[in-house]
Amino acid sequence: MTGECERVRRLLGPFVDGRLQPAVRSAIVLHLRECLECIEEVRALKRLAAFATAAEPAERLRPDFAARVRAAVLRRNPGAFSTPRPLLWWRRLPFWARSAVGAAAAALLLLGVFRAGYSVGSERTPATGRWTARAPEFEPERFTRAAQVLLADVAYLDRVAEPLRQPLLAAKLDRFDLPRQAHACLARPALPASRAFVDLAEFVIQVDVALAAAGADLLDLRQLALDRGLVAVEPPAAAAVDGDFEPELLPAQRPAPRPEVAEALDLAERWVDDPRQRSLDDLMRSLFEDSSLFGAAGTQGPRMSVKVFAISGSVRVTSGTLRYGGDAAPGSGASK
Amino acid sequence: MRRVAHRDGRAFEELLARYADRIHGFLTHSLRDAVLADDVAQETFVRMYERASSYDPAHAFAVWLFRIARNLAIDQLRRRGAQERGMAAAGRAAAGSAVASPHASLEGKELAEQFAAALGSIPEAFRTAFVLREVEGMSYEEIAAVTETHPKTVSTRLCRAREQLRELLAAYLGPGVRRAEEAL
Repeated sequence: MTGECERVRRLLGPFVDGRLQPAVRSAIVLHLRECLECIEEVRALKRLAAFATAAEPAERLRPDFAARVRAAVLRRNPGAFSTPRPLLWWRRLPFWARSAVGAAAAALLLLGVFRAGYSVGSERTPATGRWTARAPEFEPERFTRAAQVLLADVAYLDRVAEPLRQPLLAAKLDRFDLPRQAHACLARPALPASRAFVDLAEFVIQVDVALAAAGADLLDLRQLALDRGLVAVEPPAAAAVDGDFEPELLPAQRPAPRPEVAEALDLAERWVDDPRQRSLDDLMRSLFEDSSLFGAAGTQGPRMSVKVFAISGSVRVTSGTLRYGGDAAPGSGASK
Repeated sequence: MRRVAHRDGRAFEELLARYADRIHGFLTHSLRDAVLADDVAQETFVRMYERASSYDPAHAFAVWLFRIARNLAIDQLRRRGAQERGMAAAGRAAAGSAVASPHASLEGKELAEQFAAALGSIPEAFRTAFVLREVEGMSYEEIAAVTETHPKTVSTRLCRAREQLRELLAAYLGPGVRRAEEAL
């Protein structure tokens, strides 16, 4: 073994790991072409790597491992895995904004007391002309449907001319009496399917507040809805014209979807039925990880979209498409 | 991890399913004791849950998790220091005897055992660098992050690990060992 061989061998580890500068690498390649001992050393390093990969530990993980870990977490962290309720929308506002909202609320309250002597939320009964403190009745189906229409508007708000955004959303809020329904929803002691309704109600109130605040960037609402997994609906272009959006129902006579589409739709339906899975990420993760279809196509960079529309409080998958090729970019076309 | 920090049990189980085998394998190599590796792997995931809010998404999750596992493994090795030194000596002896054995007749399982014995006989820092590189496929930078050192140190440790393993397993790594390799 020559002195050059010694120098080369010190670099063979980084060489097989691809860590050398191109010039040094080229010099080693030249040396290896002529030195059988050193090339054998490279082969030995590669065999060593193969041993490491092939020599799995004799003892496999016991099947109850996950259960034991979970039990250990719960033992040391009572209350673990019980998802805490996210902060209410006003708690997420900066301090100054909370102060402003608080001051405005106080002013409104005082004004209401001054004018009527009753609390906010009361209404005048036509017969007597007196104010009563009757809260509106929460109507889950109507509220969900109306909120979904509002969400659809929010979803394509960037396609609406800036001056039209405020009146478009205001019309939806007024038309369906959404803010009062949202407050009624939050006031209910026992909420049906509570989280989904609470999320929607908080969002509606946030829209209401944003419209009331001068100079608010309404596109922030769109991002907020996306962040909270509320909006991923791509409504038809026609919706932008009349501002209304009705979900497209799957006709009964429609031919059965291809097996892979059916599988994705089945997963999507289970996703929307499962109250624990709320975000679009959850759905996409299920589609990519649970489905053998996507497992098989994974190397090609699967790209897919599934459209899920909400109807009257229950959610139904109405159409689905799968596309392959290109970068995986989950995140289109689902709502819950 | 953001979801785990928010006590999302499903997210926790997803991570558990994805990393449990890898962490257990890494710890088995590190500790050379499957039962202890099981315990330390369990503690690793408990710590993962408890420290979820401190995880910085700017860094790879696997690096963060392996660092927890590695630190716990080092604690264990320190705790049983004398015992470990004894085991290392035993491992060295086992590897030495393997070198003397005729490799051509070895079955894959035996070869794996000899490899494990040789791996167990080298210093922990070398072993960790080697396993993270060759088994986990981590880059030098990732290994440096796990072991809280510099990539150049990783390079040195890898060289040392390979040299020592090369020496201990010379009978299996030289020319004409293809049959033994295929037995794996």
